Amino acid sequence: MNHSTLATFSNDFLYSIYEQVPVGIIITNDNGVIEDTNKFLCVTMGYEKSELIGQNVEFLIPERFRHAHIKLRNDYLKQPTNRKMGQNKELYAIAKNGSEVPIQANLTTINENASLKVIITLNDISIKKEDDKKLKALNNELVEISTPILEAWDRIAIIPIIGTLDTERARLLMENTLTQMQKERYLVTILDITGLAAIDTSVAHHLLKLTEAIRLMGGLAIITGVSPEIAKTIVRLGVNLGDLKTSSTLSRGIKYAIASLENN
Amino acid sequence: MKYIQVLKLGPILFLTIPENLNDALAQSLEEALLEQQALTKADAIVIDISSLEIIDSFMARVISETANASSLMDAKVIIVGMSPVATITLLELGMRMEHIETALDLEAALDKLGYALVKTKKTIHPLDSLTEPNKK
Repeated sequence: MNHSTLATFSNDFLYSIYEQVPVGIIITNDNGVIEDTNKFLCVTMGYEKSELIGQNVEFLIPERFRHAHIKLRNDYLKQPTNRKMGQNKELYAIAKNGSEVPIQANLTTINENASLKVIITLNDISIKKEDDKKLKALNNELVEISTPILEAWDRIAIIPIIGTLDTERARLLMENTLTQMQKERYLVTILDITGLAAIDTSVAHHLLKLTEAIRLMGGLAIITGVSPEIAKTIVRLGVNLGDLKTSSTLSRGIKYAIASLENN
Repeated sequence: MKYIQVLKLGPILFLTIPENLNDALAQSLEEALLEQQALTKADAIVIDISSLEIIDSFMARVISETANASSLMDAKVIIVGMSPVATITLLELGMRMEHIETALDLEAALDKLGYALVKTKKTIHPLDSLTEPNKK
């Protein structure tokens, strides 16, 4: 759309856009007093326009944030730019029924009749928040089911490591393994990496750290399921495994584990 | 007052690290152990650290120095009972204690030293003596 087309729109049409665009819009003066809001904001938050006009913008903010907001608002006016409100912070607006709605807000300023107006646009992000929550729960569940600790033999545990091993998962794996080891008094812990998606220096580092921890607690760590691909990568990366016992198949690892218990 | 108790069982010395390990106590810990070791000519030392919920770099140094000193005096040293939290902290501090032998618990440590509990005499429960004659 070019500029000349926009100029042909009637003021009524432009005003309808302002009222109905699916984004909440608040216009305040430089003292934070609400001068107008669009219809969409009123409908979604449950207010009448007349209830909002003339109020301080803090009227829409939960009480615990109000005081801090006045300072933030004044700081913004010293250096007004187009930006997101509350970078990395969780923002909430109060609806008519008293509930707190998670929002995302953007700020901009326009000079109108020689006075500065602050334009605030609000998006309701409760659906996104709900989705994030579900995603996180699902992720946690995935982590939990993806690193089971199996008792293979008297005091021998097998931990199949499947998929990817990032820092967060490695941390959880370490905690679970050590706690379980202390509880069940596992003497040998076999880490089976048959299902490991890929190995790089960071994955190798996580694995080594885990075997180191198992050793410090007095257990024996064995890595099994070393495929030709992984063996080649480990050598090429120059990772030093020390005297760590590794084996290509799980069955050989179990044999070795049982033998090491009997030798003692 | 003596806080550090070094127990002797055959050629093995047992040392339990107390929960409230401070600088002064740590000093006497090393002394008490080495003294006993010289006195008893022990072959092996088992240091139990299970009372330490957490471990800091100072404690880690004390333990590893004590273990090294004992090794120099020709004893096999085994650290037992490191907790998961202590283990993770040690690794985070970058202290790998590579040269130190560890065991899960006292039993596993004895196992590593080549000892096992063997019952030599049949112990009779007081109540058993009442019922046994009837059985015969």
